[in-house]
Amino acid sequence: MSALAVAAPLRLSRHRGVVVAIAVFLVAFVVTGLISAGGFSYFAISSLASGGATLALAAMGQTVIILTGGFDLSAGAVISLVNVILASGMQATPTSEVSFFAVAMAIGGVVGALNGFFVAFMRVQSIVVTLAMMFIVQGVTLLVMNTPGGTIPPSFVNFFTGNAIPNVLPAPVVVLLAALLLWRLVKNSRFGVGLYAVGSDEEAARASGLATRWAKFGAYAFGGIFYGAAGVFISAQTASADPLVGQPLLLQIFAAVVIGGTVFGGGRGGCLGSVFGAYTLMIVVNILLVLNVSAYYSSVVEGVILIFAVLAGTVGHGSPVAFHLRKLRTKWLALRTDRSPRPRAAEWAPPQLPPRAGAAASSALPGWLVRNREAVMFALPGYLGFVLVLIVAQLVFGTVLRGFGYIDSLFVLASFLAILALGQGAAILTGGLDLSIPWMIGFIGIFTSAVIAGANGTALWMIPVGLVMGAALGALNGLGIVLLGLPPIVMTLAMDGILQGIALLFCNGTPSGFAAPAQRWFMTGHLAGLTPVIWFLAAFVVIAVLLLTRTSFGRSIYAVGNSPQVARLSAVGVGRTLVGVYALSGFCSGLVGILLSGFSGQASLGMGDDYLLPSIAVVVVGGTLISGGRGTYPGMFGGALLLTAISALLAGTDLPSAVRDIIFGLVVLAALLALRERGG
Amino acid sequence: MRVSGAPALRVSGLGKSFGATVALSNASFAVARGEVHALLGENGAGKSTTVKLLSGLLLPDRGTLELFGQPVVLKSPAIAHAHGVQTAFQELSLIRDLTVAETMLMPYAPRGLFGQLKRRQGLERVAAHLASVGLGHIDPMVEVAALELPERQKIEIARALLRSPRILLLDEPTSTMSGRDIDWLGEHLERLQADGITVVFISHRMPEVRRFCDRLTVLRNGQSVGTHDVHEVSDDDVIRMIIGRSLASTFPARLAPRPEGKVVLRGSELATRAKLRRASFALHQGEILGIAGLQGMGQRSLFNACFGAEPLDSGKLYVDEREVLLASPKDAIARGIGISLVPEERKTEGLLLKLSGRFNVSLPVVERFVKFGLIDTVAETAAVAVALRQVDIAERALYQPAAAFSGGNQQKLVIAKWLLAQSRILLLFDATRGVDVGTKHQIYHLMREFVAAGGAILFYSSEIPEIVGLGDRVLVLYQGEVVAQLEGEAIGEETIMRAALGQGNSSGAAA
Repeated sequence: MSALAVAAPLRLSRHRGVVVAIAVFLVAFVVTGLISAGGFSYFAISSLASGGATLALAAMGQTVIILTGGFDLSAGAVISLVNVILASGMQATPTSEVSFFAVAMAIGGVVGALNGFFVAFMRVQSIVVTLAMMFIVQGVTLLVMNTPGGTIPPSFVNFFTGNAIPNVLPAPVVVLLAALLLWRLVKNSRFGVGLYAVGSDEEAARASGLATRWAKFGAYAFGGIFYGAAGVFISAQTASADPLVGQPLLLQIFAAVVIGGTVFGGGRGGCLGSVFGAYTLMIVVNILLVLNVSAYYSSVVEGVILIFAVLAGTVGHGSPVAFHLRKLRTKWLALRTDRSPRPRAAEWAPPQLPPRAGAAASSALPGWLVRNREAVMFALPGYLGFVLVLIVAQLVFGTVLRGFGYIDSLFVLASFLAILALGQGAAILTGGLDLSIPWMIGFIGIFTSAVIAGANGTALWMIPVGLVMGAALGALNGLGIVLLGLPPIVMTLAMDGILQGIALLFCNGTPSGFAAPAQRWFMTGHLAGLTPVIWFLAAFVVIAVLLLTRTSFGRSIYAVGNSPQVARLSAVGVGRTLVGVYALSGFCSGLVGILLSGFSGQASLGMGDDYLLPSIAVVVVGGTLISGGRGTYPGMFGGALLLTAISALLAGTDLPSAVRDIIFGLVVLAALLALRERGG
Repeated sequence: MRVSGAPALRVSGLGKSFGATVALSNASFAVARGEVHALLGENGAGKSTTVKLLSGLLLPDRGTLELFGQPVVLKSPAIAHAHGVQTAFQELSLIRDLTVAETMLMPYAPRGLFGQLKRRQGLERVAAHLASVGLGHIDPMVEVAALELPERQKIEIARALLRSPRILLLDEPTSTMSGRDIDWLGEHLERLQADGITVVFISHRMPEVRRFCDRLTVLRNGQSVGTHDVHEVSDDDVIRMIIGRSLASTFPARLAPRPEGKVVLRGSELATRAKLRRASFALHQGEILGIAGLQGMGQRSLFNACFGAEPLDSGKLYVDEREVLLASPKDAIARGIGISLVPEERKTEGLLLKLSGRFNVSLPVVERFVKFGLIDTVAETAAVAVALRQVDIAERALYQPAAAFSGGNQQKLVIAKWLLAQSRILLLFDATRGVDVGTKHQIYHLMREFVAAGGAILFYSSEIPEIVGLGDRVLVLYQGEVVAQLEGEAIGEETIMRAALGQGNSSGAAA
């Protein structure tokens, strides 16, 4: 009966994540009660319950999806959309309120189902599908309402945020209990077991007879309904609407899920833990507010908590940290004790085999086009699209051929995306993604502009410093991914939050200083008939192509992207390559931050926000496989030209800028479908 | 004990390809109702593909499938289940994060009116079933991940039985089993036969086939080459059918005994966190040292550790009698060390299938072609072309992706990669798996030439006859330790198997 004896602690370990999450929550709860003015009063608890419910509901939805091994970046955007729709249409009648509640759930469910369709049936990577969906939904939200406003009927507000039983039970607690009950019912069904099975081992689940695609599809749709609920709750809580209300939630949602003990990659965890994770996170941030710490720290804290929570869940012998420490120790020992594998006098030459008898003698290789047919095929659509858009622009506005100015400014604008494409493209080629681009651009731009303060002399040394900082911060991304084993999107999302906080702290909320005259000349002046940056861009393209195709670093990138395991067994330094790739991406983002500051004369908050989706879009449109391993820089450059041309075309119309996001999102989805890998 | 009527299973002209790789070209055989039918063949002969086709995991490119006289299309495992076909997979299809009960019931767990699971009922059913198949000691509430591999294998089989199959497919069920577990399987096969259930038993071990099966079908290079009554054919006949020629003509002749080369790679009491306990060996220049052992006896760790791909917990590794610490494969392939590993899984360990042969072959040493920071692709191409000629691969490998080559040629690409890296010591880990007979033959000759030219090879194979045919000396691993060393006449399938099963310390002629 020894198996039974072993079983008891194991069963407990199965719920360790939740138990730890609840314990951490209780500690945080007691601490905040002790140090805040309200203490443990009903009012304090009620407002706490209300404050964290949106995050808790959204985290529950995300949990369902993470359990199946996926990610959903569209959560925040769905919440915003529900928010503006409720605030712009709902009347203060019970019928209206009930039907808008149903509409909210339906929005979440339908967006989720769309995500699920692409992920489960089209087999596209969840991260990019949901990222494209995030921008589409965000664009629709801005079309519905582009500034905060609207109102939510008081009866609706009161129903969700008031008291279920006055002075005993706050309504938000009831809402959460209802949501947990729903989860409980679903978990205790064949579908529920299927969620865990798919996340744990999709192949085995399929072999067992489970309809794995439907299980995944269902997860996204079901998770989406929770986002709808979160949207309802935040509407009630704020009693008005803000089209960007969901944006800062994404980082918090991931942190809450991880604190709650759900494991990235799937198979382990649950929604109960995520609810406690959400409240723990909220309390910790509240404690900082009580202690009078600047609110700018909150995104830094959230990012750091996210990283540490993932770490805490993965410590142990098998962890990447232990592995790398061990490797370092071996190397050091080998050096110190003269046991390193160094070349010795050639006492024993490697055996040389003769060519086989039947082997064909060397013949001329077929032409370049034959050998590179596939690469050309994938790169071409971007350029064809570019030409097509130019023709449309000429036909509609007649601007393209009216002198060289149009093309010149198009290439200036394209330079930002072309540079970002190298960094983002390298990250994607290794099978990763860099979500820290927006605030990497923002932070480096703000920091360098503030120090340069319009002086050419300072710019001379500050620009290199800025570039090195970008590369170093990018390398930190890489180190987190390699040493701590964090999924790239988690590490870079956390880094984005951290850099946002640091940038805000650095400039205290308002960027100061401005670019040097030389920087402005570089982006807007003239040199031999062109804007100087275009000459730079030409050199950059050549270097980028050589870097990816003709250096051993470039070869390593493709090797790692195709299979880290094969790369490792072919003596490629996988960790070193990844760190290098994210450092490269940080460098490119920093460069764009500096160029953008020169372009507009100064840096601004959120100057990088417009570049996240486009940076991914140009890479995907350029024929790069989003799961890594396949893609060329010339293709990405074509993608950059196409997207810039589309932007320029749209800028000439009076369509709102939100349309651009929707179109880019659709372009990404279309490119993903058209250029995905087919067959087995 | 055959029942008249249409056969339980009839397969006609079944074929399946993956890109350029033909996994199954033409398989035809019939399995009578109530018989235990063996499906034999080397690794890569098409057995696993056949199992997947019969289980609804793959759809055939051509050919038909009939169950009890009815033509069927098995589009999914659920449809196969509906036809009464159940499979116990070799790679196991248990979900590690679920409990034994959950994974055994999935996706057919008992549920109530509203779709809620009846967990207690399911648990009782699983517990009762486990007890009835002699696995009552396994707690159905324990997580799959906490169980040992042989236990999981038995649960995989128990799950298939739980679903009351009409046809049961057992895919290499004994590969992780030892004596007593095999007896357990035998009991259940007898019970199944008494109940009139049809069993397809996939294996490549003759003794078990003789013990359990009525008839056998042999697959070779993706084709069925014949079906026979088990007692009508001798072991030699079966081997000839499996490998397509007699054993004697398969392997290149060993070289005449030569003065023993110096020791180039020596392991002393090697142990890893995985299965390797305390293994010592010495590899001499000019020899092929065979390593034999049942699955999971530490051979994988041994090879990985010699390649710097898995850290050593204790023990020492000597190259040219100088102790070295290998932190990574990069250390292993360094000039003056020259150790390379040819792994068993080309697709996931050996090659980047989407990239060209040139990219793959030069990858480990591409730095040697760098001039002024850039790769000199002319020199690189020339060097790769030489390596390709050494292993006899068409020059189109210079620009075509590795996926465009057959399994055997892919494995030769891996070997070309290590020839280009100027390896002196090759570690071949089940390197002929899934390689067609002709290419296998070429690889054997390459191995011989490599050691004749002064190299040394450490060679593990899951096909014992290969080790017998190629090894100059053979070490047998059992539970992470070397339990036998065989030389000369002592090298034989029986002596190896006896040692591999841990029966007696049959140390052959001492060195």
